[in-house]
Amino acid sequence: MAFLGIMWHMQAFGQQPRVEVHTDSSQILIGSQFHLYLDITLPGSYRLQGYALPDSFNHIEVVQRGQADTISTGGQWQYHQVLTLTSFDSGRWQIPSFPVVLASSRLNDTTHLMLQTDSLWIQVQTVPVDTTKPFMPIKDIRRVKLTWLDVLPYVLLGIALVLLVLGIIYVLRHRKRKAAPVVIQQPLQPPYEEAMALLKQWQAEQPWTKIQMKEYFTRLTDVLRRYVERAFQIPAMEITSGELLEQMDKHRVLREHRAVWEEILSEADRVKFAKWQSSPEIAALCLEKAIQVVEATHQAQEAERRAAESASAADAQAAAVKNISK
Amino acid sequence: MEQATADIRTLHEQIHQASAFVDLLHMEMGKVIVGQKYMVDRLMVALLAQGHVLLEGVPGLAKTLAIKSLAACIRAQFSRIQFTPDLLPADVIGTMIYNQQQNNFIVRKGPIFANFVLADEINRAPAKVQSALLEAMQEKQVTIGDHTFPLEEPFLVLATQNPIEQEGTYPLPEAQVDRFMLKIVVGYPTKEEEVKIIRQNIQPEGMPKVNPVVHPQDILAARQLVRNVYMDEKIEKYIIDIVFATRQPAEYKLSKLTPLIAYAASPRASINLALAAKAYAFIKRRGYVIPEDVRSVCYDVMRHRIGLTYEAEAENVTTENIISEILNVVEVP
Repeated sequence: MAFLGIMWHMQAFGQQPRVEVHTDSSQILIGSQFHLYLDITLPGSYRLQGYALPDSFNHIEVVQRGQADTISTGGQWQYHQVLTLTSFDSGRWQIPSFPVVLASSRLNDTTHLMLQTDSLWIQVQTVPVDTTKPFMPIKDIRRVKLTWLDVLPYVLLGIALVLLVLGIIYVLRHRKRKAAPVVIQQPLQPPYEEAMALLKQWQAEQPWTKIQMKEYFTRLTDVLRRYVERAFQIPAMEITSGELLEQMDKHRVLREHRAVWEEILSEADRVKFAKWQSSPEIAALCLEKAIQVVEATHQAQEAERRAAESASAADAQAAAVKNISK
Repeated sequence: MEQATADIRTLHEQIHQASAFVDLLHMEMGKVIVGQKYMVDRLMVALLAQGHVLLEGVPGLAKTLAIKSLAACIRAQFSRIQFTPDLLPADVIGTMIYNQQQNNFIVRKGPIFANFVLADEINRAPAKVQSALLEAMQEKQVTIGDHTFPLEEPFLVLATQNPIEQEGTYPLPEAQVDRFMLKIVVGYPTKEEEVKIIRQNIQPEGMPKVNPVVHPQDILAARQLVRNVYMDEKIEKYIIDIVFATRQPAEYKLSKLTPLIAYAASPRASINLALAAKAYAFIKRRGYVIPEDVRSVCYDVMRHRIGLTYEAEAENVTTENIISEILNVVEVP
């Protein structure tokens, strides 16, 4: 009944599904490839569901299944597909008839139609062997000659890498560095002025009445050490009182006031490290002595500098006179 | 505040009186030891701070004579152990021996049962012997069989290491070296000192004799006073800065030291630096510590507690160089 139904259906539309197969060659050399052309013509009410051709059958192998072309012409569908086949066995082989399954494209219609292709023959010929000639050994693998096309990808890759490296170097060199924050440094006061300004200020303020003695003597020695460090290039902040006095002994200007330095530093060390409670009078006296010793050492240093300058000026003058007399 | 000041003054006076024996010790030891004041001072620091000393120096620099004389000056018991590769722990701490007459085991105490022990060439004995000695040093007691014996105070171990002839030696591991409070490097005497040494050794009446001038009880009392020596928080901070500069040199503007230090000083270094500084202040007859005390003992406390990298060794940088760099940068309070 179903068959009659389909027949009626086909009659009614006057269009027959049709499947055709043919090859581009009826005989091949063993291992050569040939093509099988599959053409299916369908009325618009059908669609191709598939065909059953295995990858390997009857000494024949399917090498590649090409893309199927679908063309719509006058309410019909035409499917065209090319399959590449080969065979590695000599002989006459049949490409058997294989089924092509069609399905109705209508909704809720599960009708299927199966068509059979024609069978074809293919003659696979072997290489003729001349048995009169001797057997030769298998030939070595021959190197393929390099052409510029073979090396071109590598050359391009190398050029690209070189350009990349050069680009990175260029970017790194010409990268705009973050501008360093502008720090406006206050010009340093000369050591003498700096020390004296603080000491004179303290003389007026009498800080030992406001802060602890320990703190006061720490600040006092810090000011004196900083003065010595800047004016006489002694690393006074990083050495102990004893070492500082030893270093002072190497400078004539400082050595002359050694006793005063020692007195102030010893009193400060006792207050700082031995919980020594210095009296306000002693604190004031130490400040007074600090001012005196800074003043005296500065004057002596200035005198030394002036003497050295006048000596060098005199030397220069003497040298000039000597040149003129020559 | 007044009370605190009075306490410090009282302590200062106490220490000034109690430390009088230091001069006596110096005078008495000076009879036989020519020069080496640095070493003698450090021996006293270790004795008063309850530490032990690792001495490094070539043979013949009066290391043994110094500790022997110190023991004689203090009327203390002295023993010497020559460390050799075949030495056993029992040779150091003692052992149980069988008494045939009494049919029982009795304890025979080893040479470690003395007030002053000289462990000569400690790196020549294997690790188990070194461990036995170092454990006794740490615990101040020895267990033989089922009996535990406390070691008599004062107890000072002075171990020597020969910096040359390293073949066939067992160098002390870093963890063991850390147990010594001080590592003293003994140098050669000056020309004048060497002349005196020759004269002293060849005089017909022989070497002068050292007399006991201090009782061990005086040392124990002095140790108590050393603990009471006042250390201001400024000095504590100075010590911490020095030790931390070995750990985080970059924070002290010493980034160049970072690749040179493999491992930095441990908290034991901070403790021993503080203790040694207090003992040094005592020797200087002061009741409080000043930065000079810290700097004086810093090299001896720190030199064996800083590990050098291969880079430092390749550049001939020593731990002394590193300590000098640190002391030159860390601000003195």
